[in-house]
Amino acid sequence: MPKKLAYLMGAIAITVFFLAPALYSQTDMTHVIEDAYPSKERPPSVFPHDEHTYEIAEEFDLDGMSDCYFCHHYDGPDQDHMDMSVGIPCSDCHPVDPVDPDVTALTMAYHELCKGCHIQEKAGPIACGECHVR
Amino acid sequence: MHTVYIFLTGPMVWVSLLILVFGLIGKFIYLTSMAKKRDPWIFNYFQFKYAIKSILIWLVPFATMNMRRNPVMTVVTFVFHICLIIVPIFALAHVIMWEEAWGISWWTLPETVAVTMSFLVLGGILFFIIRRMKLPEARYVTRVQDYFILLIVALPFLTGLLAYYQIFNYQLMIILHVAAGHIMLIAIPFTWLSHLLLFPMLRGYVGSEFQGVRNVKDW
Amino acid sequence: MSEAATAAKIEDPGLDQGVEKLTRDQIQSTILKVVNQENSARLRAMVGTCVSCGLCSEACHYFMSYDRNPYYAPVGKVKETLWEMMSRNGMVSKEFIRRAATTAYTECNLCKRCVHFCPFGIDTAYLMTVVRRICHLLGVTPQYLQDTCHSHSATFNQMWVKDDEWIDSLQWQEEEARDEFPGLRIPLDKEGSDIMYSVIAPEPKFRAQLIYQAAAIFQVAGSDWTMPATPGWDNSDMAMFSGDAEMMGRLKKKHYEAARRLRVKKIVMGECGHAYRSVYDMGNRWLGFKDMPIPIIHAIQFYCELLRAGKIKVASRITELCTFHDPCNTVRGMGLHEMGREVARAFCPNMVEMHPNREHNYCCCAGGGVINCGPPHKMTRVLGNRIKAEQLKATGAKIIVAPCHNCHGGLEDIVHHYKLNMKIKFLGDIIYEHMQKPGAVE
Ligand code: SF4
Ligand code: SF4
Ligand code: SF4
Repeated sequence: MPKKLAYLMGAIAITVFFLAPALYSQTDMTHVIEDAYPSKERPPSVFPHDEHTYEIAEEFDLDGMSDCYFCHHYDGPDQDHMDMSVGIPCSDCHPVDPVDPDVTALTMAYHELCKGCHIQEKAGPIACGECHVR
Repeated sequence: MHTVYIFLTGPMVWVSLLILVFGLIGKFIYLTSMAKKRDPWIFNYFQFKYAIKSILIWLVPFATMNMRRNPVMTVVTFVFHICLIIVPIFALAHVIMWEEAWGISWWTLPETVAVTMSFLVLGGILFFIIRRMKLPEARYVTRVQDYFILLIVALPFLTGLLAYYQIFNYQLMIILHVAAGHIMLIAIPFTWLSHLLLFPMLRGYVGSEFQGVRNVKDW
Repeated sequence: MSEAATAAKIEDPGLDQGVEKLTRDQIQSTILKVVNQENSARLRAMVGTCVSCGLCSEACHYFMSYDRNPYYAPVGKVKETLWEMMSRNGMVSKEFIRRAATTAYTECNLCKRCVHFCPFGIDTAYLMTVVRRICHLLGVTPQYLQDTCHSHSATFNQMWVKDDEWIDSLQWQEEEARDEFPGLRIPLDKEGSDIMYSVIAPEPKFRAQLIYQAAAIFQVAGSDWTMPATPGWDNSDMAMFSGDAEMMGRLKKKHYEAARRLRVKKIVMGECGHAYRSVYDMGNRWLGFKDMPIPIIHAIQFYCELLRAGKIKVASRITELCTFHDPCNTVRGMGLHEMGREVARAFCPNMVEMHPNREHNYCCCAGGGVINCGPPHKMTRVLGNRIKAEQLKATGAKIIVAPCHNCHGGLEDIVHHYKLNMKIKFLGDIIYEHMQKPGAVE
């Protein structure tokens, strides 16, 4: 193997190694970013992403990135939680106004996910204005 | 916060709604059975078409002589009542909570409209309070409880707006808002707020009596 | 309690001596009996639903006439009486009862104008009848009014007219009328006639001329009519206004029974508002009749039918400006406003309306037994109906047509006190004077 190639591979590996977490952790994400709504009735919900991943990792002690499945679920044929919806906008599956009544609408999806967990865990905001802070 | 909020938006909703509905049903049964026993002729004279006509006419702005004589009061009263009923049922946040709880949802008011209408409700109450204080014939017959009832109606809207704008402590405000709403619902069967039910009942009687027996309109 | 209302306490032995012997227990048990046992949902609903908005105030001529004193607003009167009685569970004083009686008997005509004003149709007239009922059971009733009720109880007529006096009066009028219409009869006790004509006792007592006029109209119209020779001929009913429901029922029964005995097809009543109220509204219900057990029509309807059928015809017309006063009991009671106008217009082409009119007309302030409370209370009602005087004055009319006895009494006092210089006429007066009279000697 030529030396040059080895260096290149090494550089890529290092880059990937350092970038991977940066790709999946949303260090600077403080609010839910959602472009699917034609008009916004309320301010975007407060959502410090990494606090959540940290909490989840602490609490459930899941392996590596399968923590993400906790929120970034991908239901359907995959029952093993191998596929996750990381990187897929929520609104791709949960339209604002779903045609199929069995599909959870976007707002409900968010509310069920966030509020549902907060209620269960007896922690975190549950009233409208606690998330949609002005 | 969690427990209180969850209680107020959960089980307490059932409590309030049951008190409201059964309170009104109870009132209806109590009054009709009492009337059946002692004033049975009310039912002999009752005629559906006249009852409906009377109710409808009194629900149309400026359709009756006295509404035309008091245009300001008429406008305020109608705007107030319409907003009072529409806002709680169609406010976005309320509908979302119905949907979360029971999976049913319906059309919602745009937030700005709901906010404006809430201000109109408060404006209406302010008007009623000032009217009661300034107008001698209203002042003379106004009891402490009348102001109190106005306050009961005002509070859910006042706290609702404060919570919406997140003025003062939001968490406290939202709890006060929900609590005030419950107080209002529960107060309906036990105060003159029950005119929600008594309006159609009394108008039904008066309409049948006047149009049916007395051969003359009742507006 | 408002000063204006209590400032000049009117002395009335019926009220003053009535309250003296009352005990608190008696007051309480009577109030509770009337409120809880005799009355029902209607009372509770009306008292409980009132939002005290005061929108009914301007309905009441007392309120309008006494410089918008809220004490006289319909809801003000309820506050002064039933609200207190009910919220204090009947624990009120003698003085309270004295004041409540004055309010209910002399400051409300039971005219029901306020029903049209209240968004809930709260019937202050009914509420005041409840108060009157309480006062009656307590024996606190205005003396003059009570006297008519005693007369009703003793004689079945309002004016202590003895049976033979009644017959005498009719025969006297028959004789008078025969000078004008030879062969005219006032058929007494003629069984199987079409019509029984009934009047109020003040007619034979003070205004026998009215019976003459009616006889003339029957004569010209060729009606088959009769008047009963026995009690039951008087259709008036002051017991209804004093709160003596039992006597009201007996009176109405007597009246219906007279008609039954004579096997007539219908009763025609003279031009009286309250008597009409007693047969279609209150008396019949007390007796358990949904409608009147025998068809009864008011003189307005009767005259209107005669005119429409061409049985009476117009000979001459009144040229002076006339206006039409709608008696509460015939408009808010039976919707006869158009019929009344039809008859009046036939004879008085020159008509002007007073405003408001028809079912929204201001009461004359005599009805509901108020005028029958007699001289002590006269000024209460005359001053209490300045608004009517203004309303009348604004028409500029010279003649008021008013098909109701009480209205005549009330309007006369008002016309006199406010110097309106107007004449007041019954429809019967006008018809008698201006109809064609075939068979009359000039
Ligand atoms: S208008 Fe009706 S509700 Fe208002 S004060 Fe009068 S009676 Fe009461
Ligand atoms: S007088 Fe007539 S308007 Fe006045 S309170 Fe009595 S019924 Fe009502
Ligand atoms: S007297 Fe005439 S106006 Fe007066 S209350 Fe009777 S019917 Fe009405």
